Amino acid sequence: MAASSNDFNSWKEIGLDDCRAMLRKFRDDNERRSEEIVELYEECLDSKMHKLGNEKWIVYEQVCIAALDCARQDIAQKCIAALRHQFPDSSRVRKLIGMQHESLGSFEKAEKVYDSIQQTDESNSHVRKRRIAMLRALRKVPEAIVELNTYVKQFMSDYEAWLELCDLYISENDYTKAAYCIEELLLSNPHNHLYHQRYADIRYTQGGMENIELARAHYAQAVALNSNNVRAMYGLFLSASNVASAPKCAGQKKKDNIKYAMWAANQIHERYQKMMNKDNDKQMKAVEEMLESLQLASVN
Amino acid sequence: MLEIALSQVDAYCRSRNLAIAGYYQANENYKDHSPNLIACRIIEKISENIGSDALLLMVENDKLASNVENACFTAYTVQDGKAKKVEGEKVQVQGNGTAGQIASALLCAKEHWQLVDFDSHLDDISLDWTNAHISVKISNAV
Repeated sequence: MAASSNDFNSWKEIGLDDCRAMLRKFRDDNERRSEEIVELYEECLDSKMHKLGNEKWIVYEQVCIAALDCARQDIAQKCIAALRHQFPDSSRVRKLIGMQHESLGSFEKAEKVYDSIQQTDESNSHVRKRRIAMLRALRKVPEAIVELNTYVKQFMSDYEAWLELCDLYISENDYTKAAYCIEELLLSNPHNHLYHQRYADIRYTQGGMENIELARAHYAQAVALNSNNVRAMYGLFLSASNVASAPKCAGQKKKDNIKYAMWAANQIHERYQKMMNKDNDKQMKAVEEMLESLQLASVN
Repeated sequence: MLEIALSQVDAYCRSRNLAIAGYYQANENYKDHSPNLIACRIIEKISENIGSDALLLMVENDKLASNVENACFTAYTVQDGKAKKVEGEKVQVQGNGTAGQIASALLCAKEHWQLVDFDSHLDDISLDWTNAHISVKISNAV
């Protein structure tokens, strides 16, 4: 069984195999656990890199990025030196050098590195994304949006890019365009409960009867796809309550929405009851009170 | 989800004779400590709820090093949709200078990995957003 980060009180206890397994898990799950990776490197790997065989190069890359995140320039420099020695002409290594410049605030130097990579390889998507990341770091959000729009036109299946663009639009309070980004994702991934929930979040935030009904529909779909999505459950409860309490809502529609809201509330209540023990009594009460107060508001 | 968080925390507070008095925000950009539109809207909502000016604390990221300074935030109130800085002496951290030391000690012990915010709670509802486990450590340190 793979070790989890809670299994070790200090990384000093960890063996090389467990360490490798943890780093592999972080890579597979695409998790950016930079602090932990740096600690693992310092406590376990630093003296044992030669035992990793061919895996050591990808580990050097992983540790380098983690070190840059934690402002550990000493470790990053070590990793880059090792990688440079092994792969002197690699654009992947040069990208790391660019990232090192970025972490030191030398954005112009980073720009030069990325320019040189792009000259040898026009289709390099990583470099284009680094440029957009730099714009974001420099708080040039409108420019980042322009560049990212150009990027997604070419790399339409880069889901992370669409999510990033959605975030940028949200930071500019442009919810309509943010919703459009998620719509693109939903077209190619209609079974992803997280995208339905995200879309619903944006529509709910926009407000207005049409948007809230759309939100309710997508929250419902998210719940149908994954009944453990608590956010979607809460979202369904709130949006259905909102629709039911709208002044223009009457008759069957009102009854239906009250039913949906009550169903969601019960589901939430059940989940909390399963999770809570008696120490969390006060939290359980808070959940119950909240559900009650939001429900009363909707019925009146 | 902010709506859910605020209602739930509010219900919890009222059961203990407390109230949500403010909101703190740490911007993702290291050098950006300025309040944004969302922070101002949240403060307006909280102020409405408690019937007086709520406090907005913008975290100064660069002061959160391993030697935490006592006042690693800037305090604001929100009037007419705009954030107004509160003058230094009006907002102070309790504890005669120990707060920074305790925070530094907790950071060194990696306690921040155990910190649960409402968002983490929504990912896994067994996690305790009141962070009772950390409150105990803080009380012991005081």
